[in-house]
Amino acid sequence: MGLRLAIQPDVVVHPNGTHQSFSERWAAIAPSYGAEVVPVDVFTPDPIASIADCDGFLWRCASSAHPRVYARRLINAVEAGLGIPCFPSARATCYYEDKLAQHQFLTAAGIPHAGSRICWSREAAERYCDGADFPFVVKLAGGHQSRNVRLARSRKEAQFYIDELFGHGVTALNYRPAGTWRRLLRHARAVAECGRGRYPHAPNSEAELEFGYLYTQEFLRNNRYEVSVIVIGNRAFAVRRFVVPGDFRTRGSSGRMDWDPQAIREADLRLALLVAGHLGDCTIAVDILHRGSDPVVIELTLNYASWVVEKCPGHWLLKGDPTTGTLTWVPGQTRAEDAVFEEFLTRVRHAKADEALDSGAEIARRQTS
Amino acid sequence: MTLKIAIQADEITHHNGERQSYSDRWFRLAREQGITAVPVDAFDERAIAQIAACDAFMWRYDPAAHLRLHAQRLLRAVEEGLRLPVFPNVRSAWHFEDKIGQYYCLKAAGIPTPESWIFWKRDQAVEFCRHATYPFVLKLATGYQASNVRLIHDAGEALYYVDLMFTRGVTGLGWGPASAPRLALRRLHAAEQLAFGHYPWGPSEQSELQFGYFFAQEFLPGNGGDTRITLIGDRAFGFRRFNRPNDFRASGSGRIDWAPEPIDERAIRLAWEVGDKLRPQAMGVDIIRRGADPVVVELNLAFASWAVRDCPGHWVLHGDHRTGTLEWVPGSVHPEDAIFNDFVAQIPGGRDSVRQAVA
Repeated sequence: MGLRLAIQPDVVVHPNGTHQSFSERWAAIAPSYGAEVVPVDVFTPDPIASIADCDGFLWRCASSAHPRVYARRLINAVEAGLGIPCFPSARATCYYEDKLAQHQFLTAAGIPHAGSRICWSREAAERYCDGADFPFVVKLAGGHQSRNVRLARSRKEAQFYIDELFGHGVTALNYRPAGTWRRLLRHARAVAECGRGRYPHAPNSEAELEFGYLYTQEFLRNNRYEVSVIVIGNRAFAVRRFVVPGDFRTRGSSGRMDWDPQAIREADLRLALLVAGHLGDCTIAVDILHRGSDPVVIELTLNYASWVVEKCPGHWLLKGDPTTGTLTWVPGQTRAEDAVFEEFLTRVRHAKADEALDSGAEIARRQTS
Repeated sequence: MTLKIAIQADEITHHNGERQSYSDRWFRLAREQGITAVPVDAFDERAIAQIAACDAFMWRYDPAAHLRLHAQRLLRAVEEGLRLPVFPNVRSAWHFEDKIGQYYCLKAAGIPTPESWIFWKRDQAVEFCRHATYPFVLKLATGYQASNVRLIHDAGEALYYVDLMFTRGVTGLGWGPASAPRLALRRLHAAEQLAFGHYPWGPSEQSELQFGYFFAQEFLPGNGGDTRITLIGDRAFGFRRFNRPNDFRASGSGRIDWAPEPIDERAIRLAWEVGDKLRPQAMGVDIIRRGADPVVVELNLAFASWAVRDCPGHWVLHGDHRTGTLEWVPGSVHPEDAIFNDFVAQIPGGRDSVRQAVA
């Protein structure tokens, strides 16, 4: 019997106009893999009912807060309650758009990453900033395409972010440090909005309210670009994204990029594959900068743009361990949607095989007893 | 080599004056069992390095938002990054203080629950409220001891909360609907607070902001209280909690009956079904009735230890939750001890420590 896969539709149009829908592609290729697609609408009152009879569930959800927070709950529930594999996995959803969790995971896993500090109280944050070297990078837990990433150049600027994050909380780092008059003006505007029945610091469908922490990261100078390595199973695709002139950030996949494989260092690929191996999900994009000549992880992303992968002239195939295994260059373009689907199917088949083994063992146990 | 367990300190004093510290008791048990307990400050930047030098990590954290959000991230990182055993582990804790996650999980696992409706879009929530049967129970995902659970009597009241949930969000369901002049007064008061630098609707260390959903649950009349079954390893502790006076909620009422006889066996078996399917290290399962049938309303991890300790005994299930036999084991058990002993027994090399201590 073929596999039945519950798939939640997704569609996004990237800033460069590219239409992207993992679900449409999966639905198109599923029959060739002998899989039947069960379309799901997770926003109906009973989404579990349509997923319950399937062998796996795929939801390539956007980074926006509203679907993401929901997806995390639903996917965790489906894995725990129904016991079927999901894409992304429950584990991956917990690191998705949560840089604090990523930092703690990378630290625990001993994976080199940019020196980071999380302060959980205003006092701890102020104490840290009193003795910190400036500039450093301030980040929110959520935010993609370099949003919510700022450089704090002085103690005074750092205080501004502390006041924001331990005061009303923020949905984005939109406001920059400013002089007294400008800050007063902002404040007056917020009061006026409040008087009119609006809510100046409320979360929205795009962004959660970030509150009660200060997350800082070392500023790594002299990086003209970051390397984004997208790992799907044991395949690694890589692209360089260049820093915007006059800024220290790239613009994610909206800025200048280069797909030349010769410019990618093997150490970067191995580091990304190491991270992916630790996480164990079908796919992850690992953003890498360099401290001197050593690669360090900056951030993990799950919802990379599929067209970036497709433009890669080939990929590296890992055989063996990420640290010592062989990396073979495989020329030719690959669609991320296809590679993710293949990887997911493998996992579903393994899960089904494990289930069959378990039920066989249970029958044998009952017969013996 | 001696087993080393990193332990984060915890301490609270309950409303009834009972002081509770799981960590204090764990430190004592560790000493008795020849285990090295290493105190850890989870808020220190060196916490992970300290834990990495140990064989396991335990942190009984509170439901308050600030602690919980940090604890869940840190414990997950230790479990998945360092690959060390932790209490509570991800399987036990991912849905802690998340009634929405719990509902989806119970539903997926085929566990009977009160009928519930979760809306992620305002239009759908409004439509539901216009045609709903009243009263129903409105819940936030977070909240303990019956906070953030309200009985909604009519569409006007329901739509007031829909508006809050899809505009500014709320940290609690404290303020209900009011007359237009009172609402205007509230707004003025909020503007005044904001003028003095305090955002009145912001989150706090206790509560994160709840936003962008509407969670309604059927009201089940005729329940004078609920049954709390606490699962720890292969033990089930049970007691009944009675509703507060003139209220429909029992959690946190403090009106408890520990007598095992009136506890419905089907409630115990239902709790075991939850345990079999979700396999937590420990879990409180709150059960009420729909007609004669038990249904699960909520799962809890931060149960008060004194309420479990005062149980005159516990049940051990032999076999399947549907047909297996329930053995009553008399005697009081400290949940801290049960959790610690089970946890240590699962650490490689830990079983001997427990065995020697028990001997």
